[in-house]
Amino acid sequence: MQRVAARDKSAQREVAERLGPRVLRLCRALIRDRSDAEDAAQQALETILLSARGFQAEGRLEGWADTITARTAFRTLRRARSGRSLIAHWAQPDEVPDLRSDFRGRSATSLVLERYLARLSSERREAFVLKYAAGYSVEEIAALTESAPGTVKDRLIAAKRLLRQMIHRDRDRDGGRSR
Amino acid sequence: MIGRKQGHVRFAELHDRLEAGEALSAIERAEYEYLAESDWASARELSVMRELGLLLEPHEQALDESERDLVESALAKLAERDKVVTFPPLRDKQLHAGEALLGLPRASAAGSSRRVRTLAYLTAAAALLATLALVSKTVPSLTGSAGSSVRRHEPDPFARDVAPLDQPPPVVSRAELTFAQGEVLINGVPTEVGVAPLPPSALVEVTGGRACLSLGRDLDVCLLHGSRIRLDGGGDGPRTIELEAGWVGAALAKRPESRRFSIRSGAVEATALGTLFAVERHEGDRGETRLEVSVAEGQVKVGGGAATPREGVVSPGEQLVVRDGSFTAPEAIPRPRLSTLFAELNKRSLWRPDSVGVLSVAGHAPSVTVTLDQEQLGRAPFTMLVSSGPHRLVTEDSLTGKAETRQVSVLPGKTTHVDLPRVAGGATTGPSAGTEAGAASPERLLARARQELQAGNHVGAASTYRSLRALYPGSAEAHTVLVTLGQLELDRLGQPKLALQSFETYLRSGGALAQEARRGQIRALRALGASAREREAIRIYLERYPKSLSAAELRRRLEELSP
Repeated sequence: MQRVAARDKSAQREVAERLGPRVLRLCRALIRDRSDAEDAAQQALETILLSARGFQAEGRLEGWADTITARTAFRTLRRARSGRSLIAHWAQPDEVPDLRSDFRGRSATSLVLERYLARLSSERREAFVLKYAAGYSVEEIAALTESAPGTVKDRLIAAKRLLRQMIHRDRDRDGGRSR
Repeated sequence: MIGRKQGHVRFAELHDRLEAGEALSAIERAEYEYLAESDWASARELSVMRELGLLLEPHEQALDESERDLVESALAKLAERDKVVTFPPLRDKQLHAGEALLGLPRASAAGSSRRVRTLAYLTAAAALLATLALVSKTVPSLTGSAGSSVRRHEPDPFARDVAPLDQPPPVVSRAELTFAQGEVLINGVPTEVGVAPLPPSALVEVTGGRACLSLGRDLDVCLLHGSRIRLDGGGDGPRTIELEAGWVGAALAKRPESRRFSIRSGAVEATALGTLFAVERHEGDRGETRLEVSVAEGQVKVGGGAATPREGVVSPGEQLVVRDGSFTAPEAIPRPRLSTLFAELNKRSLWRPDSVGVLSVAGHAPSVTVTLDQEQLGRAPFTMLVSSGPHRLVTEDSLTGKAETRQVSVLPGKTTHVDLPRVAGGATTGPSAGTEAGAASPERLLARARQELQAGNHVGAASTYRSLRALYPGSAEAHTVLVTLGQLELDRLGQPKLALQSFETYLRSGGALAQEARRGQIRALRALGASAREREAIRIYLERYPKSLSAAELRRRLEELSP
């Protein structure tokens, strides 16, 4: 990372290729809108490369990059939400596709996971992804999302409950018959 | 035989226990594994959670197309950015050189800073007067006299004609007050919305509320309580306003370099080419200054005044702090600041159309917030310019939870008065015998405050928290809200003294939020420039929370503060 901080082009490429896919997947998991997610990923990767000097050698590069990515994603989300208030006829955030048609087999696919996440509100989705995908503690999520730890816990519980309800609905509609 | 639903319920219970680190008995473990294998919903949940857990794990495959695009775009942007000079700290010499070229006497002693600024403003005003003399030849009505009605509907050189898409919009340089809550002083005189164009180089001050000004087509600025700005002389060239105190947010459409817009404060200048951004100025007790440039959209170039070649670019979502002339690297804008910026500037859409009238909402009801066409406007009384035609006005009382909707029709060039209903205003007296039935519980007030926060209505949220404390002083909520109230006062309302009071009141009794309160106390002391007290507060914080997320940052700050 010292070489990245010194603007070494080959080091920048090496780190970008190592972290790029992770950054993109985390942004897509955190942000419902695909183009917003890709914008956030690009901004996050740029910030990671620009902030190389701030990376502490004893820390894990991926964890450090996740934090920058999550912060960038939240900024993108805020901008997107605020932008919506200016445009009266923006699409409703709850307009997401039905899950049913894509449930064919037993094992979850990325598409299935993505669509389950799409049914969660932004706050619950953020907490859920940061906890179960990025491995942050409740306190760390609270710090990242500028929320109280109790609120984060509530969001996680609610997200898990909703996930189970969605699975129940899918089983009743499709899963039971497909078995 | 376990039913389908019961099977998943049992699985979920066992799964949650495992996740919480609890050990399962051998029988429970076998049951868990059986359900994970045989029950469709349980297997589905396990599969989804496993996939989520593996989401960020590295994979061996080559980058796919979108990943490759991402990497190449980020590297290209970086290469482009490397061409821009980044922010080195401005040295005193450079700063003073900048001041000298700007006509600013050197600010050596802290005590003389106010006198120095005054002289600087006089110098700047002289330059602007010269500009004005030129401008007034071509724009005679810029200094138009006061009238009683809005003239925008009358044909005049500043009418907001809609330009064809292939032609640049006509230049409009008239400054006018578009929103006023509390007292707005123009050159020391209380001024109302819709009275007259503002004089050039006017000094605008806001106390006890907020204000917005239109400085021309697609250029709006808003000020928060306690802010003071000096306008320029208008014209179709570069525009610059001077921030003397407080917070000013600006929203503008993309414009050419020849019509650039800047906010200057002291020797520092933030220039936008098409953006939504804010500049906030804090002054310590000893004359030290802290300037924050926050960018929500577009990009802002920040430099140490016209005299210095050093400059850099602040990107969306970033804020740059300039402390006594020294730049720090841009950092992420705290969420509340960003939402205030959007909330203050979003309402400009209400007065943007060509034909406007004045809407005057009267009545003093601190618990009532007003929303017009889905834009939160805060507490009455206020007056503002709005497009002529029908509008939907909603009043919500944070004490009773009661909301009322009414249609308001605004005529072009006329003033439409709205008096808030007595019921909504009366509720501000609290849960006395007369209003007991409609009075809100502390929980309800908390919920209301949260809604207001989410809507970016920070003034309203603070007012609701204060109402809760006044109405239910002995409740647990009255104690807990002190921390959030302090954070609002500090970060959003520019009231560090009140914030310090809130945090310290909380700390006297302690509680689960003591860590947050101590962190807030430190930040408030820093904003007040009380270095010795800040040092002491940091020491106590580090003793109690040595492993906290902010410990490293505070240790660095302690070193900075060490004599």
